[in-house]
Amino acid sequence: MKVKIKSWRGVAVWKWIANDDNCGICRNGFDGCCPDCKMPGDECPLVWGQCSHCFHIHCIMKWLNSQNVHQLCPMCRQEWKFKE
Amino acid sequence: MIKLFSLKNQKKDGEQGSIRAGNPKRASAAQLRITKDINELTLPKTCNIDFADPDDLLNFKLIISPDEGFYKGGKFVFSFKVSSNYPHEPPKVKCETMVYHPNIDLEGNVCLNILREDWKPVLTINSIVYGLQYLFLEPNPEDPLNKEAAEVLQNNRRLFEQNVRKAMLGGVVGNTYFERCLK
Amino acid sequence: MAIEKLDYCWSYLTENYAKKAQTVADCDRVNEAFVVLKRNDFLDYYKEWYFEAFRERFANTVIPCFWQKLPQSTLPRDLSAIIHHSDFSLQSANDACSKLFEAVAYLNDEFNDSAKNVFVESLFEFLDNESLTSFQSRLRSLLKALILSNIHLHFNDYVLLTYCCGFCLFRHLRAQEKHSSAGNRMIDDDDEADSEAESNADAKCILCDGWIEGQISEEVYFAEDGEKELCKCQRTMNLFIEMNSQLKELDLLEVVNEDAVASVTHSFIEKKIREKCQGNFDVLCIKSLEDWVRVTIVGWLEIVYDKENKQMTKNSEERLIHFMYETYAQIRTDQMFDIIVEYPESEPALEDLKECLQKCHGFRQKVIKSLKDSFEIRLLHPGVATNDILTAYIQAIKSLRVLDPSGVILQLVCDPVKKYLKSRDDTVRCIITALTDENSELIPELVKGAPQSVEDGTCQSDDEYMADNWQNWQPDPVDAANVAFSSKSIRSSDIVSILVNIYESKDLFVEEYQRLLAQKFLSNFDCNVDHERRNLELLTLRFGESDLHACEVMLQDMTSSKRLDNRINSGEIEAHHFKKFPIKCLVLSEQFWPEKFGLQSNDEASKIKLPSDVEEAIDTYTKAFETIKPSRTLFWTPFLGSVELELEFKDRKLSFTVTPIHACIIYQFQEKKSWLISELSQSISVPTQVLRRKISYWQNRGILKEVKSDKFILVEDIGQTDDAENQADKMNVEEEYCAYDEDSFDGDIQPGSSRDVGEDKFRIYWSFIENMLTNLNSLPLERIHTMLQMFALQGTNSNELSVQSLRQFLDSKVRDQKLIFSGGLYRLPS
Repeated sequence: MKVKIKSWRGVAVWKWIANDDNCGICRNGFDGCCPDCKMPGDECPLVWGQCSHCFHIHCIMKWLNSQNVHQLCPMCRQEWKFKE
Repeated sequence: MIKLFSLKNQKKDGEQGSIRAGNPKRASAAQLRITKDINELTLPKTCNIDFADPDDLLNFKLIISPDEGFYKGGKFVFSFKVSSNYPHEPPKVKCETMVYHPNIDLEGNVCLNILREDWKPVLTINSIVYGLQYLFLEPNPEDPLNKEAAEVLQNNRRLFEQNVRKAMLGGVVGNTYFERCLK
Repeated sequence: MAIEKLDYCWSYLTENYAKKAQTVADCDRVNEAFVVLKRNDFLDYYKEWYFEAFRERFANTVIPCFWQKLPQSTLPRDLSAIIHHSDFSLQSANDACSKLFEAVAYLNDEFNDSAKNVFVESLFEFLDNESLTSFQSRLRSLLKALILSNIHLHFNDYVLLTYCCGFCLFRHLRAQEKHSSAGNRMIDDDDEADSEAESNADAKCILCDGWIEGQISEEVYFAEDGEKELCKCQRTMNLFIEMNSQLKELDLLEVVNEDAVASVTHSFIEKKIREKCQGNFDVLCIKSLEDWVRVTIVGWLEIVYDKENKQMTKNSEERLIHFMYETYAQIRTDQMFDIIVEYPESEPALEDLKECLQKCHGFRQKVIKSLKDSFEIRLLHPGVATNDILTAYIQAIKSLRVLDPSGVILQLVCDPVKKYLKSRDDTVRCIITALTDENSELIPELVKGAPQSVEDGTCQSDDEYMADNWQNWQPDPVDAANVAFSSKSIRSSDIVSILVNIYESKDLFVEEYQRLLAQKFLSNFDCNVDHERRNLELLTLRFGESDLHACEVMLQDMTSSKRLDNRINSGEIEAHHFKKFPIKCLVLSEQFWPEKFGLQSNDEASKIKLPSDVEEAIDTYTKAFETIKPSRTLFWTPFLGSVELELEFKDRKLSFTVTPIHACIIYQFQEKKSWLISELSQSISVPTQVLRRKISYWQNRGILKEVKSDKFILVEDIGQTDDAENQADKMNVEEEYCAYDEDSFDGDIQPGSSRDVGEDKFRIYWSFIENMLTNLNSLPLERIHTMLQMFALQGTNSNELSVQSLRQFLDSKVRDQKLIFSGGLYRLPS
């Protein structure tokens, strides 16, 4: 007998490759979304700072916009620079 | 069998009931975040938290009863007001008990770095609780709101200790009358 | 001298008073005699004597004779059967009626002879201390007392039978009259039943079986021998009327007929109502019944009591109408369960009953109790499928709202149903399934959506409700006080809300909906997402957005996975260079799918070792994903999915769609034709219990075979698979083990699971099995199997049906409560 696979449909979950599970700002999971979004993933992506900390883009942008003098990472208080 | 299932369902109902109580209607971002903060709260044994309205997690009181240091035996109430901008803005914390303390003025304003310039959204209510608790263990004369008290602390720790006692027992220190706040 | 004369006159008057024929000369003599008596002041004595003589004569002669005329033997034996039979025949009662007519006439004659003769009349011309009428009424009272003190038991039967006849005659003659006068069937509906009976009457009267004059042709009349008896209905009716007036004359009418009239009218009213509403709920009939009572029954009473006696009939009329309403209510109350089931066709019956409830006090309680009881008996036990209970519940809600717009009956009746439903663990699922089934009756209800009362806590209080609707406010019925929660929820909210409120919380529903949605998506990758989206939108209107957020993400996952599959399989992504077979993937946002699916579980059971080709396919797919979505990666759940396989044997090719575990198992048999279960378990990292259950899929299809305990071999040739049955006994033991395992591993959620495919096949057999069990009550597994093989499987490959798989199928029916298994026998739930 020979088994021929004609098609394979699998199930997988996607995850961000990040060194933490939750966004430090909204405390929701990275694989979830920030409180202002409805759909995770494409619509609510993560961004990394040069300090290697990452957040939901909407969360960090909101934080940075509220800082008028220095823009610091909410985690390590270093100056926030987006990782290229 | 059927009984078993109904038991299971009841249990579920109960769990959901408690979640719902803290999560009325469409929760705002601040509400969602404070809910997480409160759920993860691990209070030191000297602290208690009190919600006047269990459905409103944005306003509550923290009661600190230090068990060591200058303020041992006292009972100090702080009010927390969490704005809709939380966690991008720190909660507004006021001390409701008159206290003779270098970092807390007579109007109840509190001088704690993480409540002002050092606030960052990754901090939680828990961080503030520990910060406040620390203020009672280690009053900091460097950055005073009550300058008199700060000076006394810096120059004469014994006198400072006596003043604190006096104030907590209910008495006049300097030109101010403090109400008794010993337990 | 005077004494002699007096003596003579006294003797004359006392000896001749009872003589029948009296001449004018006699009258004169009587007059003379009374003159003498008066002169001697003896009139009062004579009066007293006459009274006593009357008593003696009636007590000793007339009344015994009256009773003699009514022997028990003339009465038909099965009296009550005759009276209550729907088509009453006059013949059986004719003799008895005649006897009664005769007896009453006799009594009347005797009384007239004794109380209205020359003696009495003359006496009272001389007497001035009492009037003749007063004396006569004393005599009547005496007669009444004599009759009643000596009444025969079967006399009541005579009376009842006669009045029954009387009523039938009346109805019959009236219908006949109408029929002939209306000619072209312009007959009121209220007497439909009566007149219909007449319409087919030709030459013979259906009531007395006599020939009808004028209808009978001469040929018939002369063709047969013997005397032709003509219809004597009218004659009998006249006699009946006469008897009533005689009884009235004797002042015996009400005393004699009160009970009979009551039972005749009541039993005919009841009969009429039953005729009208037996199993028939779709016609309004209370008004026509009322008319019928007013025309037919009251019309008859007028004949019995004489038209002058208006007060008598008026009183009875109102009593009878009330009785009619009560009887109607009682009959409908007993039918309530069926009325509910047949709603909306039964709406007229409900409208009628509603009217009755307004007229008959206390009937609300009866309706409530009766419905509660029938629900208890017919619905609220383990033999009834949850779906059926739900259907009945919905029907009850709809129909009881017609019956009682205040909703109080509904709430009182449905409370136990609600509680019972709450205790069943599949209720939520049934409701959700019903809500999301395309063909469900509930869809329009869902679309209607007035979702206020689902939102916990926003349910309007009574006060608010009144503030908004004060103009339409109605006081609650008295029994509203029995309703534990005064909230208007079940009484006013829409059906979907009521169903959801069974649990007093929407969370459970939302959770269950999410679970069912997940199950649907994972078991059928191509299911209709648009349909689900529409459903979700409807549910969102009702439950609110935040609660259904997760479901929205699940739907989004479904659509974006499809897009991703297309993109990756299009070949435009370099990383995906795998070309051996198409690989597709459902990429899920884990946080938004129900936890119990174990999407990312570290369970031992979830780590299957996949064939290397598949591993490779998965790797390249993951790499492709990583290029399309930078900084993201995939974690596969190997035991979920669906695989299309083609098994190529020496002599045939077979196609299957199976779960990955099934695929892995059969894949192993490519390398090696025989495996011990422990080896296989190690080789693909699946625990043996799970493995055994999965293997049974291939066993059922004759691909694998357990040659000895724990050792499985591949069956290359069809010819090898003839001893499936031999294995059955061995299987049974193991199977219980598997069933246990199923609970813990939750095999139901496996996409394309073997059970689904298997059950499809069995659906054909199910009607056979049902018939078999209906006829033979209960059967053991083996019998069912043999019989199926004899009847149902002719012409098909009997290998398809092993005892073991039949048993699995039957057990699934037991779980669905379609079958009961006890003492080794299967039977249908009663």
